[in-house]
This record gives sequence, structure tokens and C-alpha cells, in this order.
Amino acid sequence: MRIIVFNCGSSSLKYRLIEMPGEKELAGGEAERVGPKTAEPARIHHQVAGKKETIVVDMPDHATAFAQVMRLLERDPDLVPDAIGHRMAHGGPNFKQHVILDEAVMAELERIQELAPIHNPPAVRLVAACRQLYPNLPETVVFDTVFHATIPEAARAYALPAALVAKHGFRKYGFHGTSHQYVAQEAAKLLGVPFESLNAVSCHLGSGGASLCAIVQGRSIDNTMGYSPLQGLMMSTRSGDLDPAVALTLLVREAGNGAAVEGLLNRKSGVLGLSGMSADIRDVVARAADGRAADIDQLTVAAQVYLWRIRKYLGAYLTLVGRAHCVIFTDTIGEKVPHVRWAVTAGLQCFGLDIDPEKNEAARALPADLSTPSSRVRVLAIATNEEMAIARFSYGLLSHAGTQAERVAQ
Amino acid sequence: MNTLVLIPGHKSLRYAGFVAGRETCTGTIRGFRWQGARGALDEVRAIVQAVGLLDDATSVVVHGLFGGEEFPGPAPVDDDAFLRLDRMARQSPLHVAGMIETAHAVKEVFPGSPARLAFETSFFVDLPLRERTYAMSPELSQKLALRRWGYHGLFHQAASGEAGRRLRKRGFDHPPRILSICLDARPEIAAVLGRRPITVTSGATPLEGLPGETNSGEIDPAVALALAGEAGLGPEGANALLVGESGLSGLVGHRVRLDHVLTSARNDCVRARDVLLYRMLLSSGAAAAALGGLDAVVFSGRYASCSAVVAQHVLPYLDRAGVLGPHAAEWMIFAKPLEEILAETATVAGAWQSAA
Repeated sequence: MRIIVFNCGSSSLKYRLIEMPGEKELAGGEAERVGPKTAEPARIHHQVAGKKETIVVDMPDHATAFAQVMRLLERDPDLVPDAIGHRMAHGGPNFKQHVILDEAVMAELERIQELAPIHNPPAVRLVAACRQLYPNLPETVVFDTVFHATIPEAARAYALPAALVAKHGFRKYGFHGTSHQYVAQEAAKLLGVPFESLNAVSCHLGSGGASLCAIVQGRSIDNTMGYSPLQGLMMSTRSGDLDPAVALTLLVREAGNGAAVEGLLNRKSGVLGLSGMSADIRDVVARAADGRAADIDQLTVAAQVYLWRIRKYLGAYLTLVGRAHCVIFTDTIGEKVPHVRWAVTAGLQCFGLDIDPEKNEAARALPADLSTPSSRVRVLAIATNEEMAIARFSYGLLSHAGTQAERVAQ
Repeated sequence: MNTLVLIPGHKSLRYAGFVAGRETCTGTIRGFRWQGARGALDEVRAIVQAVGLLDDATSVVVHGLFGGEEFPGPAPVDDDAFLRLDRMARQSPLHVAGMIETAHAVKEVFPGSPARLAFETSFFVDLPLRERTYAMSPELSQKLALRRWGYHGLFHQAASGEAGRRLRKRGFDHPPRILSICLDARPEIAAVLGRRPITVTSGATPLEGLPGETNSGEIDPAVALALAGEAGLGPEGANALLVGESGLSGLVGHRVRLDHVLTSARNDCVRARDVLLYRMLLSSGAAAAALGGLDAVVFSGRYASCSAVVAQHVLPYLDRAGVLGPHAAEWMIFAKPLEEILAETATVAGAWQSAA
């Protein structure tokens, strides 16, 4: 079965065509500058069997981008998808499993899309476009929140009046679940531990968003993000944890303009806001280490705050998990920045965690075990692959549904 | 030496008199208002005079919640203190104006007595930058005076100091790594290395951190904005709800005290207790990571008598994670009330300044 996986950004559309169950990647690419015209033309970077091409084409919306991608694939009969898998950031309170798309699912997706106003609406529009243009292709929806459906009540509850929570649904959802689950499964394989027995802390440190996940017996029991992806770690442009009184003070200062404060906290804070020079922690760390920058104090503080928050949450989750098998680092920063991995784990021998500085610096090919032989808790760097995870979930759902249909037919 | 301790609150004024370190009288003046501090203090003066506490050598210690960076330790109520309070008033006019009123009234009502201000935030003035900085533009943080503080510095300092003394008696010869858990109406956890705090759960205001009797503690900032926006409360309404109607009382459904939630067998308290203990567990783990392990765990605060409930939940997790040193498994209770801690500041002049 060939499954095309879509990962929809606000102005981009990433895709991968994966042959399942062999997990062979047949094609992939990214449509850029989807939406209103920008200074540069919209284009698709398309890749098949190592051969790359760039196609410049107008894509005023995600439906057009989707149609163009399908057109590229349909040039080769061996690349025509049998099914579509969608990534959806937020599943709201009712999607506790990944699903095959139908009318009821579509209605619920539309109902909850404002829970993640940046991420969900373009993805929902894409799902709708796929249904309209290819009504016979089965579609699945894989949610970032589903892995966190197992977070216990005490961890997901905010200390707010019950009536208010019931009315507005304020609770922790957690995000990056697809990535956390994928790397945890890979870690279990690496360590020779059944996934259902794995205790771990997964650190998804992206160049944009970042979160930590506490995993006990293969189930998520906490995630640093909350009701929205704003809570938790300091991120590239998001503030992370913040005194709620500060958020309200900012609201007063902005004369009640909630969108302005959300914009400030989501897009102008974090690494960018604190460093004043870049949203990428790699730039900040490098410039601070250079030692000659005029703004070195500010850069040093930005780097320290970023690392300190990871370290504190790591300690919190290692305590929660108890006897962890491993700490996993993944996504752009977690996979490629040894300094970050070292700075947040060094000196945590009290947790049974002993990172080997040489292995850490040398790690290029992933997965890699970065710990000393005596480290009770293994420190792993594992490349995340959300598209592969979505393909796996989609294949599981569709093959199970197929089996069920065959049983009914018999 | 006689000492009079004054703890002004929003609606009442607590007082306690000490002779040679022993409490001889205590009470509360109801209906206290910052604006009418003089009247309440006259009442206190009459009471302590009647019991023979007041003489020319009686020291007066006035408790304050927030002293900002102007007050890194206790300070005499003098012209310099009023200058510093005036500077602070430009940033936090409401709260500091009340303190200025009270300090003036103290000078008037007890003119011959040396008076001193003692603030909860002083212990946290030198909290490391990485801990006290919010991930926002430095210009904005500076403009709004936004940084993390602790709001139970008096308990944390006294309790961690006592824990350190006990460890030294056992031959411990390096700065101890102390987990300090203050069980009060707004509970707070701090990591203390030697005499210096390294982390604390509260934030720019006491609203952030652990859930308290009526304050929510940490929530997603997006929820705060949603309360003000979609829920229609506006910023002031949302703040009032988060400060006064949330926390353990919000979870239980009616007004509760922290000690009741920790010890009650009632079903409606179980969920609130689970949430509180869970957050305490996470904060304790974070403190252990900040310190690189724990040499002591010490409880303090108004509800320190309920420490066992928290210890029995949190310590097994810390133990299983491997972070408890050989002494830390024996957790301690620092049972001194706030009044007594404040009275002692009258005799240890300058000690906090050097600690900070």
C-alpha cells in the first residue's frame, strides 16, 4: 500500500510517499509559499529516488498545492497513492485514537479547529480538499495529542473552578505526541526492551517548538506543553511557562487586544525575544561562545535560560518516571546540537545519568547511545520521523479496517 | 530584649510580642486597612502596653511581602527606607503605598522604638539570572519589572539555615543541597544551595507556581488570555478568578484550607490533593536537578504539621530516582511560626544582607 503523508504548515505542505508495510520512501518534497503571493514565487521541491526537481507554480491555497503534488506523482503509475495520511496537531478532547476520515470525523475536525488556530485550520482545509478532489482515496488523521490521552487526571488538570473547566474545556492536552511515541518505540528496539515496558523521558527539541514527555510502560504520563503549545519549555519564538499574571498585565498594556499578546508570546518571545538576534538557539549558543559579541551578556542569559528550563523539566520527569531506561534527544536541536545535550544532562549522575562527552560530540549517525558504560539511564539521540510514524498508524488503521470489511463480507 | 512583630494583611493586622525570644502576647486586629493603619496600631500599642511589653528598648519588626531589589535584607524604618519605598512605589503603586502608610504609622505610634522592615522577597534578590529571567525581550521585562521572585523567603531562609546547621553538626562540610518546602496558604518550593536559593516555584507574582488555597498556580498563559477573552472576564476579572477563586478551593468547589485538603478523607478533597501533590513532586524533581542531588529535605510554613502527607508522597519518588543523599531520607520539620522568625531578625542584624 502506498500512503502519501501530508504535514501541513500555515504556508507550506510537506509530503512523503511511503510504501507500506515495507516502510520504503518512494517520493517526497515540500510545497513552499502556499497562500497569498510573496516576494518570491511559490514552488514545489520534489524528489524521487534521489532525483530532485523544483517546480514553480501558483498555489493560492493548500487545495491547489495538494492537486499539484498529486499531479507530480501521477506522472509515474508506480507513484500513485492508495491512501492519504494527515498530520493534525490538535485532536481536542474526543479524539483519543487516530482515525479513518468519515463525515462525523470531518464535522468534529471543523468544530475543534480553533483549539490550535495556527496549526489545525490549514490542515482541516487540506483534508477537505483531498476529500473533494479524490473522494475514493481513503484518508486517515493522526493527531499529535493522541499519545498524551493517557496523561492522568492529576497531571492534566489545571487548578481552576470545575464549572469553568466544564464550560471551556481548559486542560492539558500535550503535543508532539507522534514524535515522542516514534522515538520511544525506536529506543525500545535499540535497548531490547518491550515498548510496553519502556520508562523514558523524551526530549523533542525542535528548531521551532520543543517539549519533553514522561513515558511509563510505553504510555505518556506528562508533557510540558499544555492546553496550547505555548506552555512549557522556552522555544524559538514562544515564551513557554509564564506567570499568568504577566500575561494579563500584558493584556492590560495592549488595551485588551488578546491577539496582540498572543502574537507577542507566540512569535516574538522565547529565544528570539530574549536574545534579540535569532530565533535559533544554535546561533545564540555559537555567538555567545565566540566571546566577542557586544551583546554577549544578553546572549549568554538567553542560552542559559533555554538550557536551564530543559534541565529542570528533565529532573522533574526523571523523578516522576522513577527508574528510567533512557533519556531520548530528538528533532533538529536534540539530534544535531551536542552542546545542548551535554549542558542539560551534565552533573545529573544523581539520577543515574552519565553522558560521555566524546560520544556526544562525535555522534553523527543516529541512533546513537551517548552514555558511559556505567550510566544506569542511557542517553540516546534518535532521529524522529513523524511521517513514517503517520504512515505506520495509517497502515495499521486501514489494514485493520480492510480485515474487518472482509469479515463482514464473508 | 522585647520585640513586637507586626504582620499587616489585606483585612487584618496580626501582632505578636516577644520577651527575651519568648512569645508573651499575640492577636489579630480585624478590619485593618492600609489607609487606616494608625488606628489599628494604636490598638496594638494599648494591648502591648497593658501586658508590660512596651518600653524604650522594644524593637518593632514589620513584615512585608514584596521588597523588590531595593530591599535585599531587613532594613531600619528610616529616611533611606522611605526613599527606597518611594522608588518602588513607581513600579507597584498599590501594594507599596500601603507599606509606606504602615511604616509611617509605626514611626508615629512607636516613636522611641527601633523599627525594622522585613520582606519575603529579600531572600530571592540574587536568584540566578537563568532562574529569574522570563523568556521575553529584556527591554519589556525591564520596563514592567518582570522577574521571578519567591514569596516565602523568611520560611525558606530560616528552615534551610536550620537544616544546614543540623547537617554541619553531623560533620557535613560542604554547602548542603536543600529542598525547602513551605506549606502555607500559597505553598512554595525552593532549591537552596548552602544559603543561596537556586530555584523557586513562584513567579513575578505569587500567582505562579504551586496551586494554593485560592490561587491557580501555574497554568498555560493561553488559558489566562482565554479567560480574559473568550470567557468574557476581562483582565481584571480573570486575575480575580485566578487569585481568589481557583486553586484547591476551585478544585474542591468551596473554600478550603491547605491542611484540610492534605489530611481530609473526604472524596471532594482527594482530587485537589492529587493535583497539589503531583505538582509538588514535579517541582521537587526540578529542584533536585537544579542542585545535582539532595542532602536535606525540610518543611516549614503555617501547615508544616502536615508535612508527613507530602513527604510520604514525594520522597519515595525522589528515592527511586536516586537523588536523595544519605541524610536527605530523614526529612525535617522546621516548626517555628512566622512571628518567631521575624522576631529573631531584630537580633541578627544584617545577616540576610550577607546571605543575599
